[in-house]
Amino acid sequence: MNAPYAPPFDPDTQNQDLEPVLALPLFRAVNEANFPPGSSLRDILVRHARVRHCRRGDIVVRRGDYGHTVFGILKGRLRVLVDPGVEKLITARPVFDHKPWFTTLLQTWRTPNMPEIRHDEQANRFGFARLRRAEEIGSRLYLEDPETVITAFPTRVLVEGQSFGMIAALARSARTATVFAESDATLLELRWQGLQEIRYRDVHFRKYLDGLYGSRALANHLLESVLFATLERNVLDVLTRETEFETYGSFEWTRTFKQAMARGVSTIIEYEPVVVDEGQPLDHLLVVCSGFARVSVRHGSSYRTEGFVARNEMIGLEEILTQEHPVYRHRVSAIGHVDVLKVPVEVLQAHVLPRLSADFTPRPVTFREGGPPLSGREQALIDFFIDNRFINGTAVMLIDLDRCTECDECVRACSLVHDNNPRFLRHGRDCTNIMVANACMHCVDPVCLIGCPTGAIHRLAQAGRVVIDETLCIGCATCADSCPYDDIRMVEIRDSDGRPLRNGRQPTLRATKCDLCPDVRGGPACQRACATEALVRIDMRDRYTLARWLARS
Amino acid sequence: MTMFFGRLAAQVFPTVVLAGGILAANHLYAASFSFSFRDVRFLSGWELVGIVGWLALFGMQRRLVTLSTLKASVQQRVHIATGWGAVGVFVLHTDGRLPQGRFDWWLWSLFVAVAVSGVIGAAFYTFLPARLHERPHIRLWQISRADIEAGGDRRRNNEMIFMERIPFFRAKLGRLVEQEVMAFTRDTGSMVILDFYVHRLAPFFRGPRHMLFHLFQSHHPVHRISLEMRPLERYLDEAGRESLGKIEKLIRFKDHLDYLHAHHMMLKGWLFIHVPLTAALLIVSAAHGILVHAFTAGSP
Repeated sequence: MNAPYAPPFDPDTQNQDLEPVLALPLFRAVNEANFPPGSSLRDILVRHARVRHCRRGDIVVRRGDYGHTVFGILKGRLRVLVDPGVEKLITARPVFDHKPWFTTLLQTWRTPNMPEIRHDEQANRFGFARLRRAEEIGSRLYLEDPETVITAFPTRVLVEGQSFGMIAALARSARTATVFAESDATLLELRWQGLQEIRYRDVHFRKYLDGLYGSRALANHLLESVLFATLERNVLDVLTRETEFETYGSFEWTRTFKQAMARGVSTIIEYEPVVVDEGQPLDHLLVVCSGFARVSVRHGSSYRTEGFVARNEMIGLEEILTQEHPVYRHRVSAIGHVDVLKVPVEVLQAHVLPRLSADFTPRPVTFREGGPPLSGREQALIDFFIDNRFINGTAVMLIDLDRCTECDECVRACSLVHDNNPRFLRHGRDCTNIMVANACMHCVDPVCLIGCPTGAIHRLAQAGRVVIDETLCIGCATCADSCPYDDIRMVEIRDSDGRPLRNGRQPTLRATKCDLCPDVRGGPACQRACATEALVRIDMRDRYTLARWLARS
Repeated sequence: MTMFFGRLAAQVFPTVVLAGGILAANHLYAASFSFSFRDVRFLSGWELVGIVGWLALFGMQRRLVTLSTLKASVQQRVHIATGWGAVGVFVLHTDGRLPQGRFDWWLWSLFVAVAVSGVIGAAFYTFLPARLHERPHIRLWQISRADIEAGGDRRRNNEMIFMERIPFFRAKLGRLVEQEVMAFTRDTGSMVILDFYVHRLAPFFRGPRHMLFHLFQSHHPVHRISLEMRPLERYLDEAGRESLGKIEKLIRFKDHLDYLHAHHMMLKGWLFIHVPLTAALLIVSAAHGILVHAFTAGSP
């Protein structure tokens, strides 16, 4: 279960606010008797829910925003934009393109002396949408004229009692549609932790959620896995019915991670929730749905890490294929948080294995399956990457200290293309000759996206990189506080004349981080500027490229 | 060794190809040039000016890395390879002989100095970075711990010591030693450590020391200071010996800072020789070209 000690979602949520909430169809079937004293349904809702008031035209969720909450409509009408193409017109995300050559050339000489100069903000960048900044409601995007949008574009109505955002909240994935308020509305917003806690306590709620998940998302998850990708529809239906969805670890792993780091990384493995233990009878094939799991074996008085599994990777397949009475060969534990699909072995043997091609070989889950033991350096690096959760990164900045001359050309190049202020620090944790610099890793599981009030920080759908839309950023530092790697920095911005911009008496802040230089030809400037090939941006899921890069040292 | 040969192969192969290409092109063009009974040294001379001029633009090319289609690492390889090509053309231009006049000596010496400093720089880039991390890491937090005895700021545990911050840490260490010595002297009235500090340690902590020893990986100087401290122990009580132990630890920190400083200086400092020499070479080459054309009778 996730930590019950998470701070309240909204300290203002009171017990008396919950009457209309409990009347929602979502909670109608929940039996309050299943909840222990001190953790009743009401307690959970007070801790994990808030009532949100929206004005007409307010955008509640945008397609592509990172979902961690589910909504129930207490009052009012909402609209869902049906056509994803239309959304580009309404809530356009910034589009990055390579700068023209001449502009890039000029940039070299026209870099301002002061850092973080901002020129006029592009007021009409959002098409129909505007940014409402108001103290009493928080800053949010809204549509100036929702009637026009409703008339001109196809939409679907959501009315009182209906809920939405369930799948994104359950699977920690991006919202699949944009929802805005057609009239003034009151919404219940329940965060993921509460959803999971109620699911854990109440079997009806669990069945309801799992049914919803099974009907909408589970089949798609299964199809992403190489083992199930070619199955016929009827077989997939059987699998969908029989497969269980389980969550291990804490959604808010950032806090526990930082605490664990303070204790020392070597003890981290002791605190990880165990998914299956070494030697345990194998009754389910495990398919990772999101998050990461550590694969380890007992070694002395502790466990030795052998590898890790990420989204769509499986645990137990090799055992099922090679053993008559299979048992798990490894201990599998959640690295922070992991969602797994558990496919029963009997179902697998009856429906999937007979359809497997003869040359199918399961992908190894350890770094050196059946090979010679790992060298001391290799084992140290594996421990280092996994304990520090750098495996979360899709563009981790690795620096080979045996090659780095500390010339700072990487920093200069970054500064050149980013408002005269580099977006990373050329230092960080290191192991043997490898250093992981403090640069945004563009995580697979980007916890920095959670809680951004305006959706300014988001993941680009086409490239997977996490970027900050500066015109939406209100400088609240939620993302910077959430980042477990301290890779987001708040900076004071200046006007064209170099004067610090102020919001009343406070300096105006913006969140900044590495954006992988989307407008630079040939990729990130830092990597291009490294003359000794000491610096590389690497996707940690690509174990082959990683191993080859490490082996050159 | 595999790493060494791998990197060597990665650097040597393009160098041989590009430098060989430059020389082959020179040879072919020189053959056609000589048909006109003109001195091929005019050709190779202008080639050299062109190549060296292009090599001199390397710094600017690196500034334009976001514009260029070539990554900085490729640019550097091309720079090194072209440099070797320039050496080949230079040998052809001079017929492999030593110069005769004083001016030619200047020009010859500048070219050789630029080439040699370039080779040394490339060698530094290959071998010195690894040395920065060879010694057991002494990190910022350890110095902080010596200061506040509390482990410092844990988030900055892994912060490395950059060259720009070395003077700051050196000053900090100097202060710590001074405080330790003064405290002991004040508490006990004994001048044993103070005398040693004034005559031996104060100059050591004042600035970077023993650069050459560090470049040759020698621990001799710090070992000698330790040896000089041993005889003091007989004049000290338990507290004094403890104080001496603390000072010795700070000496080792300072020695490590000097080690880093020496290597950083080499990594960055060679450019302060290579770049000005290149500028001087271009100026003297221009003068050489003017003189040659001015004092050449007839063709070309």
